[in-house]
Amino acid sequence: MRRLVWIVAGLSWVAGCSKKESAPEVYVPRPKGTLTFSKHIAPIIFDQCARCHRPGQAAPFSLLTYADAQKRAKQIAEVTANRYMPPWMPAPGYVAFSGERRLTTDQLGMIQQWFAEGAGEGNPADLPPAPKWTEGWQLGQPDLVVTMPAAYTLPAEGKDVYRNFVVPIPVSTPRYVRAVEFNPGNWKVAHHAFFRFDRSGDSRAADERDAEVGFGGIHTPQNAQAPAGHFLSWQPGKVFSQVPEGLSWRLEPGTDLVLQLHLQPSGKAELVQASMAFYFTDRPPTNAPSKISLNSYDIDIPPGVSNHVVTESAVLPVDLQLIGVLPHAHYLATEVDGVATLPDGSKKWLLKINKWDFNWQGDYRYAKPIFLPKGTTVSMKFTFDNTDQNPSNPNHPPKRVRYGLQTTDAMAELWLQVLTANQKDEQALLAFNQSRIIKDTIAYNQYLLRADPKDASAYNGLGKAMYFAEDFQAAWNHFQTAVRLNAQLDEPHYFLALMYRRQNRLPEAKQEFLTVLRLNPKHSKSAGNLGVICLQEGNLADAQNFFSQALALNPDDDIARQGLDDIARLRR
Amino acid sequence: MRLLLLLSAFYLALCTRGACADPFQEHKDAKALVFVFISNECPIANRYAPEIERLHKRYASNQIAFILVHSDPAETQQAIDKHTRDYSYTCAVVRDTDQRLARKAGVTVTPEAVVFLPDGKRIYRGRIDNRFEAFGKARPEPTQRDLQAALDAIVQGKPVRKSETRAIGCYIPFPK
Repeated sequence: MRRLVWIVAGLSWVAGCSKKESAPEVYVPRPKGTLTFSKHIAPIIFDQCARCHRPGQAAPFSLLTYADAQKRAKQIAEVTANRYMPPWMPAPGYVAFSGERRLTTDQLGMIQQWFAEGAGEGNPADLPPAPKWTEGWQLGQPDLVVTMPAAYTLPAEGKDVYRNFVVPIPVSTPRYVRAVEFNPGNWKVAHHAFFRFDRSGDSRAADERDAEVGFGGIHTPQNAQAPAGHFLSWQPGKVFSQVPEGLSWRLEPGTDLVLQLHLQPSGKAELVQASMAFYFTDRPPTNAPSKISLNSYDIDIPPGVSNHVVTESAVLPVDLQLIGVLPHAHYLATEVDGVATLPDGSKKWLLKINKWDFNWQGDYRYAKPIFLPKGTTVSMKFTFDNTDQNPSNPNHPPKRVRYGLQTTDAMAELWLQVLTANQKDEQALLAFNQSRIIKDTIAYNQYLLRADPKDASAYNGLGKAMYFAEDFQAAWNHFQTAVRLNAQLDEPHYFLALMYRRQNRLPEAKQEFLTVLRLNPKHSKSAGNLGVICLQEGNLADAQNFFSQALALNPDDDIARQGLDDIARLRR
Repeated sequence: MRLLLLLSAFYLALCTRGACADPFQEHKDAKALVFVFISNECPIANRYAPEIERLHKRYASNQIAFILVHSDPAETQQAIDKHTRDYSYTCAVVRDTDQRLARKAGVTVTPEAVVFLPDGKRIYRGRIDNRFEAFGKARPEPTQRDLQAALDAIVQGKPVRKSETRAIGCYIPFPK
């Protein structure tokens, strides 16, 4: 006999967290033999499943008719009972997100009872009309559609593929984006996606270095980022990403879209050519969201341990409205908890995932903003299973796994998207984030140096952290070490040059900036700095050359533009 | 319309485009017969297509017959033909419209493999390998290749160590 009473599982809470207002929901069975597809099940399927389970969409088969559903009734009962479908990672009963794709206790109970009693059709006259789906872009006529210039051929078999595709965005003036809608081009193999934007050309260069279309890996170049203060991701079932009122983001001319797709081989070679639709608004944003990240570099998971825990927390410097959250981990993670401890000691769930699945990751927006007063501690707790019992474990037999960017390494990050009440708070949050970035940069580069004590980039990273922390002596030493370990690295020379400039040692500064340009002819800031120094020295001709060079490399370089104006004025 | 040839221990008739035959009769000199049950729309079964094809080729010289079986009566011959082409299958593809073979073999899902000796004795039933642990729960790569192990044992004349495993996939629609 099948259980007809379904109790919503997993309603335990962190000690001290606000108690549930109501008892666990229980399914009240309907009279035996009364549930039919036409009357009871079809409305649930139309509402919860058919957005993807209809022809031409993400799901592998359609569920619009009784024949479709009857044939797969057992599978439907099974995958809904274990919450594999609809796909939605956050556990029920903790915190409400917008766009939740989850069956209610009653819907789930009805499906189970219907299947257990033979999955009957009932009277076809009871069948509600199938929903009318909008064909094409769901948000209507887009203002701009960009498509991968060439299709990528996904091999028939092998491991899952993470690939980044660079798509130029043809806008000639800055635009404010209110929504984007993604079309993977091949629904069968696209599993999830992240969207980043790059104005540096670095992603384009990575694409060019790779012989095939796009470039591999889950980590894109540093200059490829989500729009400032925003998350942008796609999973099947998520139709579009629309910003809350007043939070449009600015798209600059000369920006490349970097589509990061997780692709699953289908058994035959597949072509993938994805598109993205942009919806613009004339209204500039009235508020700018910020992000706070909790992350741990101190991850070292022994083999054979099923419940290794990694935690991190931070105390908020100002009052904040929390509007979104993005967790990130790789294959060994099993659970993700995010909790806020308010100054009065009360606790609020920010995120609860009991079955982490790398393949379904994405960002979540809260149904209502969560107010977190100044002094709130936000904390994360990630649990990892590094045993053979974890089928996602990439190592067989399991082995020691430490922090790292590869999917076979481990990561633990919880990103919070927040709004401040005023500019003063925004500035305070910026300073707070900067100090955290410095702390994280130090931790990360120390981790790199533990793996390779001769890592010049890691010394450069430590130097930058110390530079921004204004510990110039320490920064100086780290940059000198970086240069000694790898003379070809341009960045330590740049920071050494900046420090010479601070001390007004202009000849040495000039020498270092010239070294940067020799190692990296695209380094616009060095050209600009050389222009400033030449101007200081009264060498207008050289100054003009360097400013022109800087402006050619970066048309947004206001200092270079100002410098050229000054020179023109001086010459008049 | 169905043509039943009462030939083998199974009295089994499997049809390919109207031509029906008993595979046990057809392959009576084979060392073993491998039936792999698949279906057109099952993403798990489809993802295995290259692996099935590789196993077919690997054992072709060992007198092991590979036969793909479609047991969903709702699948049309036309759709099956297209599927065979799309996934580049070169092994035999048959329809089990009356689901007699599926019942006899005791399979429940696609993809699921069954290995018989020509005398009708079943010596393996279950998954191809352990890549899938559950719906949506897959290993990056399989760590146990159960069908291959069974076939290797047959080729080497050794007993098959694991005769049954649990296959993960899409349920074959049997009428109640």
